[in-house]
Amino acid sequence: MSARRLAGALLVLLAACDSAALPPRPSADVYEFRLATTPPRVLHWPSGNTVRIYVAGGTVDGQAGALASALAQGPAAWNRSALFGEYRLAATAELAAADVLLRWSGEASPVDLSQCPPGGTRAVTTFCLNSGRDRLQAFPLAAGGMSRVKMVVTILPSQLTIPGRVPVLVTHELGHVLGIARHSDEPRDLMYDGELSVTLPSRRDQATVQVMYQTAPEIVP
Amino acid sequence: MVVAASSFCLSLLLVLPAAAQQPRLDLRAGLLASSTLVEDLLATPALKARFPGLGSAPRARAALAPELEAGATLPLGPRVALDGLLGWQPATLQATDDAGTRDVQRMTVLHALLGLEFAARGPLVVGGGVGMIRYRSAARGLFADGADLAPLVRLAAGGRWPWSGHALTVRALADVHRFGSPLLRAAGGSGGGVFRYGLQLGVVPGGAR
Repeated sequence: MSARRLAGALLVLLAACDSAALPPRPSADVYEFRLATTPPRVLHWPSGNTVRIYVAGGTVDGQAGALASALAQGPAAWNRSALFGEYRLAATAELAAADVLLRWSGEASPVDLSQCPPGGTRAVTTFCLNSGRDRLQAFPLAAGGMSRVKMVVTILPSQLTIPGRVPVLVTHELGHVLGIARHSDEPRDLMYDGELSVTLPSRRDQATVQVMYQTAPEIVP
Repeated sequence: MVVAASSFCLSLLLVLPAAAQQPRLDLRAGLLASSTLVEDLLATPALKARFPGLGSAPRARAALAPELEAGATLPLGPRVALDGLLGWQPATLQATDDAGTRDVQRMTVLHALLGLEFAARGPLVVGGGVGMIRYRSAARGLFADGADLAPLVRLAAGGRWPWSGHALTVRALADVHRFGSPLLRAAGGSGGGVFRYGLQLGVVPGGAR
């Protein structure tokens, strides 16, 4: 075989052996996700972390089980975007193991929220920055002592009156739990700040969380 | 590649009637390493300008893992044998990015191979084969929608020694196959080639010649 043929065969072999690749994300597919500080700062869990979510409450008639049911689909919807194991959302039955608390507004909370009280109209994710503003503080337990809970998701019970609303709100808030600290201006995104018309993360939501987790965090829980 | 595999199988069918000996069990165990399975080229210059902390492309590969193969070897002549093998490799998908390397999920790599092995000089043997390979894993991440069944080509070289009526073998091997998945295509990505390489020890009971 001549050197030219051998070189040609090697080139074909090399071309055939480029590894599989996901394409670059267009800039328009990624919305602002950084915390609105000056300058904006990236907040997300350390890569490879499993973020455990504990459901509290549901003692009131009609509320029992609704949050747990919502949590059956929200984590899976977001975990689908973690192609390289950047994060994993999972439910836990143990408050002591929880990084995140999911609760109804108006019900007693197992962690003390007095330092960082939740606001919001329909649903809100709350956290407290430490004095160095580079980490999140753990919430104290209401019964005394410290929890490992760094974020609290609060849902207004009034949302139960709208069919299908609570699971969508929970999945939206889990986007904030992952670190998306802003909202999309596109109504077809799950992280839109308005009436939600989708139930799952959109392509833009997925691209945003993927880019966010490949961006070095300046604030870590 | 499919055409090449078909031609290969056809040539084997022409050779088979000449085989007079019985097939023998062929057992092999080894360690296989892998090149990158998937790379994510997510960061455009525009995105890097918007988000200065955005890192380089994350990539995933199968970690170095043991592999088992079992099948049959059929002598076609004094210096050539036909091998049919099924392989199983329990592996871990590992991802590497600017945050480091981490285990992502367990997976199983299954393959089937049909090949020829030639006795070269003394104990030296060389061989090659074609087959199919499939990655199986829990339906999440890169495997959210499964993975394709893909063609595989293997080359190997090593030695074969008689021992108490059996044959012991040592092989260095390299194979190349495609990796693709519905998730990759849905995201606008493309499948690509993967190299695996490693060492195998084997035994052919009663196979001394």
